[in-house]
Amino acid sequence: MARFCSATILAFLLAFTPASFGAEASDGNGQPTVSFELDVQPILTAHGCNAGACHGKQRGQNGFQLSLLGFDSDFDYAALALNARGRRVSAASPERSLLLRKVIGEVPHGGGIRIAPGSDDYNTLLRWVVEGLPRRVENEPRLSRVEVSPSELVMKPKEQRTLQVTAFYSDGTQRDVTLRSTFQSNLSALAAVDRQGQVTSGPLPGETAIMARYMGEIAIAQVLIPLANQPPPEVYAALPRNNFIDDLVWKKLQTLGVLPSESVSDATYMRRVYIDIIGRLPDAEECREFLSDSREDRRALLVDRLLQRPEYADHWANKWADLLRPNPYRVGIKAVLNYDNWIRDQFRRNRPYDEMVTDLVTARGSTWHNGAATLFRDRREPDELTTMVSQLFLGVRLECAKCHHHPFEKWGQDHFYSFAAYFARVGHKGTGLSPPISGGEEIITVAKSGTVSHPLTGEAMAPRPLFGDAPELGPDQDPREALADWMKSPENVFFAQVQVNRVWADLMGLGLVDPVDDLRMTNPATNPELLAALGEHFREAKFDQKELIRTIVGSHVYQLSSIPNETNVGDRLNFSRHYRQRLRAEVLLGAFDDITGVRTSFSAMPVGSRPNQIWTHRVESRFLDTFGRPDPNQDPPCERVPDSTVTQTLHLMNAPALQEKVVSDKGRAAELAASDLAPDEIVEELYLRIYSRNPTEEEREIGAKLLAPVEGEEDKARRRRNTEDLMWALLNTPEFLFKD
Amino acid sequence: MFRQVEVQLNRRGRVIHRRTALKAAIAGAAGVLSWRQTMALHAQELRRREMACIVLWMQGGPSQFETFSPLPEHPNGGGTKAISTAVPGIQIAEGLPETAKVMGDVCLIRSMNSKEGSHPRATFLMQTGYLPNASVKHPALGAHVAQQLGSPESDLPEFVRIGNARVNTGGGLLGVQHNPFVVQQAGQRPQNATHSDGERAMRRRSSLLTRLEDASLVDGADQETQAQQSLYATTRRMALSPKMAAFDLDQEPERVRKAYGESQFGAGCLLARRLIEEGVTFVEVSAGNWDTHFDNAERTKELCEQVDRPYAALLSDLKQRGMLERTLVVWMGEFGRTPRLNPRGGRDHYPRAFNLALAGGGIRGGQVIGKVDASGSNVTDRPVGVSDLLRTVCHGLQMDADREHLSGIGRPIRVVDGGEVIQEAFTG
Repeated sequence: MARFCSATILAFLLAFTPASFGAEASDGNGQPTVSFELDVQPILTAHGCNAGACHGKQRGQNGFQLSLLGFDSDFDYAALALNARGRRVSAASPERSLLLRKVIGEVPHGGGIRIAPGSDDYNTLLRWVVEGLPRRVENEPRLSRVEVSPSELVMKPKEQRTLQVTAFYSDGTQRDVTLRSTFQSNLSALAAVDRQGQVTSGPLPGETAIMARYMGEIAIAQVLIPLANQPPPEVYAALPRNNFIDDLVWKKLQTLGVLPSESVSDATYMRRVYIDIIGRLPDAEECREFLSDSREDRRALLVDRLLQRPEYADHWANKWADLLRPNPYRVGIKAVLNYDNWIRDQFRRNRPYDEMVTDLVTARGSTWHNGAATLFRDRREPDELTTMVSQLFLGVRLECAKCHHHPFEKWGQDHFYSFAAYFARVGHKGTGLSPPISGGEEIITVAKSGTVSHPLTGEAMAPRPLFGDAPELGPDQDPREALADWMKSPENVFFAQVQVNRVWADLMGLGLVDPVDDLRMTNPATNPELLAALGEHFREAKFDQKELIRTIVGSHVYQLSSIPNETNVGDRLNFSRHYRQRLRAEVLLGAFDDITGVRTSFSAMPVGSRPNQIWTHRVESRFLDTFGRPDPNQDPPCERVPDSTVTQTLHLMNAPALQEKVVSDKGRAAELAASDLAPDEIVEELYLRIYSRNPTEEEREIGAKLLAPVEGEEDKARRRRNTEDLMWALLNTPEFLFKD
Repeated sequence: MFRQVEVQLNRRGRVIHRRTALKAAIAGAAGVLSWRQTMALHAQELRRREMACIVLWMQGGPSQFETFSPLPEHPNGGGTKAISTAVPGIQIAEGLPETAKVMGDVCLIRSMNSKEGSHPRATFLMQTGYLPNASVKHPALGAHVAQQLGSPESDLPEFVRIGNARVNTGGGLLGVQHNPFVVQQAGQRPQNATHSDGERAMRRRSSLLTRLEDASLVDGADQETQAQQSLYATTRRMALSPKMAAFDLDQEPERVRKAYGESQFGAGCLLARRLIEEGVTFVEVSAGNWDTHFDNAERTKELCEQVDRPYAALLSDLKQRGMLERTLVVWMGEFGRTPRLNPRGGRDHYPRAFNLALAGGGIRGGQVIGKVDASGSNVTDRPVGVSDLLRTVCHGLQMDADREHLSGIGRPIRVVDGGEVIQEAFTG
């Protein structure tokens, strides 16, 4: 390879390379012109040098470590310019610097050739070395934001478009940074993006987002690929509209050229709202009553009745218990039992969500008297509280920011520890944790003092919200009260949105944002207008959860069938049809008990308790373990696994505990077989109880034939056996396992 | 120069992508890669594929003083005597006389150490190499082994966990298909593998189910329904596979069953051997509860009785069948016990210095790695951390410990983070 002397290169560079940042302010009169932060770091980021898979990982790569995506300029400067000096950079012969020889592959480099010799990027790096590795240049501005244009791309299948990324600086200047930005498509199959920002749509209609990142700043471009044969607007105008949800979902479907599925029958609607609102199936009598109701508003009336049922509280409290309730072996039985009671009480009384959250995050007093105080017995340190509170109530995941800048977001360590400072003065009196029993009483107090300091600078952090302004802290005020006020203030839309998204996901089978508590710009809602409208609605309804549920299940969108039509068969995101969900473990077991007429008994629970009333996941149940419940042995507890498994299938097929219910002398099958009911009446009874619908003619025929007496055979035992067989078979079908 | 050739073989050594391999051999720079070299590659791949691992999980944290690191001369030894073994110079605790006879195959590590003293966290650490974390679901070692060495076409699950251990690590970010198949009790068909009302009832009901499904209102084209139905089919296939006979221990000769002893753990060890023979890649058998906060002496005596004979029998049996060389057997728990006895005659949790045992899979037996001080409190020589251990296990199994898997948010996670292979543990 040809060798130049560095003077020649310098002259060449000054003459021909495009202006780098500092060059606009100075003109080659000896002042450094290449800025480390604004020129060098972006090059390293653009070429993936500091990516999580390369030198950006925790221990670096082959002894050379950079901060993840360049969030820590001082660290990166030290790594390049100071550590191992003379090895990575050489002022004496700049082009012999390891930095430059590695990136062009002149010496072996695990990451291969990243930059072509003689390219602009190469020259900028070289010039920085030649200029003596300045940390900063004179009057260096700061990067304030980036924009991507166009921000919305409506594309045809197999089309190409180019994105442009512009960076804006604190001194009012801007420049095109497209080539130094990194791009990522949320769904490459739909629309792929290359390193130059060129977007290529795939063969299928649909939508996705493309993230452009330039030095910690992020911008999003939405990509929309509508169906080729768009139905005429009249079709959409004529769709039924029960409330604002329908308006916003139809609007979205129209941009995609997708049509919604048919609406469901009364039977399917009934099964849906029973499962969704009270977590159980209707019994045969309830089915008959509703199915014979001919009033115009029977669906709304049913929803009103269900919202008043006592089972409502246990079903919804069970979901919050997953999020809050710790392991009693670690935190103590009494404290956890109290906490569980507190959670259930919130739903029994239909506490407004903002009041419930305020009581929780500002809880004080004895864990033996105020269940909410157990939160602070369980999560004892400000950093543990920070990750939990921000994720649960704001949908902001801060764990990443505890140790490094969040790679997909704006959150850094400053944000994390300022937020943690709200919990700096949580005090503990009494007996702390002493697993495996931890039975003591602990009092949560507001301590006189207490600080949280930044792990790198050691500076004591002042409490500061993640964005916006927080109310001033009074001298005697509990900082947590200021936090609660800020969280529920109207400016903070996340507070309502994360909760409506959770409820929406429970009812609709998928969140508008998924995962439900990960509301970041780079994980945009599939229908942002709808999420915003639901959030506002929830706030206007004074955070009344029952009102929110009533609104959602009253929409026409909720009442769509899961069976797709020609246009929406590929839709998994926009609620043009209902998405089936496997029943939650507790609901499934409760249904098993109700149908077979044999209740499961649980230790440490009153006789006749339903599975969703269990106060801790430590109460043994092989069924619930098999069908997935959080494991409080794990800290943090694992999420529920919605997938079906071999073990689950075997359990349903063969588990003795379930078989016993089916064949029990005291069970429903025995009772029906011994009754005076005609064969087809037994069939109807089973279909109503298991599927919440009447059997079809064909099904009625198969079942009745099975149960009909056969001449010359001992009838009683046969009728009983075949009733059991039919019950078993129906319980093993997807129609029973799934909410349709 | 050797070119990397991707050759895929199934468990029995049948070449799956043979044409690809041949093409590569021909294209390999005008015959640089000879047929013999290609076959050598096959052999290597085949050998790698055949490697298997058995973890004997001592749940609760076994006392090192009552197992492999007795201190008869020191008050901390608690009066437990030391006995000689088949290897001159190596002594172990008196409760393990059968194990003493096979010491020639066992490599002891007496200098294990970690910082985790709570059961769930320490268990998670020993089994995954990482601490529990909200944003990354770290897979268990067994899941990694199944993922790298297992064959997905097998009728039997690749990762089997025997016994009711309080362990819940699984496939994690590798996916639910790498979750362990749990067998609560060895000696029986796995839970729910047979219908409680008998096979006839099962067949009768199954055929009714099929008839009803054909008549069902539910649209079978739906993704969830299809997945559910295919899972149902797989499960039925497994339940009806002749290989399920591997779970029936009464097919073993009386003599063999006797050698493994009467205990549940013994049955678990025997089952582990049978499963490995049938092509299962990773089996975990648990024994316990070793959490001896009270009456340490008495309880460890019982526990040793439970574990000693099956462990020795497993190693001898594997050796006799020529399986030991390709089966790495790891005896370990989540931590050790405190050197000082507490007032209730118990020992509490102690992660700072504890022991474990390796055998098979290329391990050089009859040696001790690491030392602790006279009181058993501190490691004084050759400390071995959890990453070192897991990396050593991967090395023995010829796995790639540096393979990276992406977490949900695209963060690369290595099989083992850091650590160094304990080279002296291996032969040659």
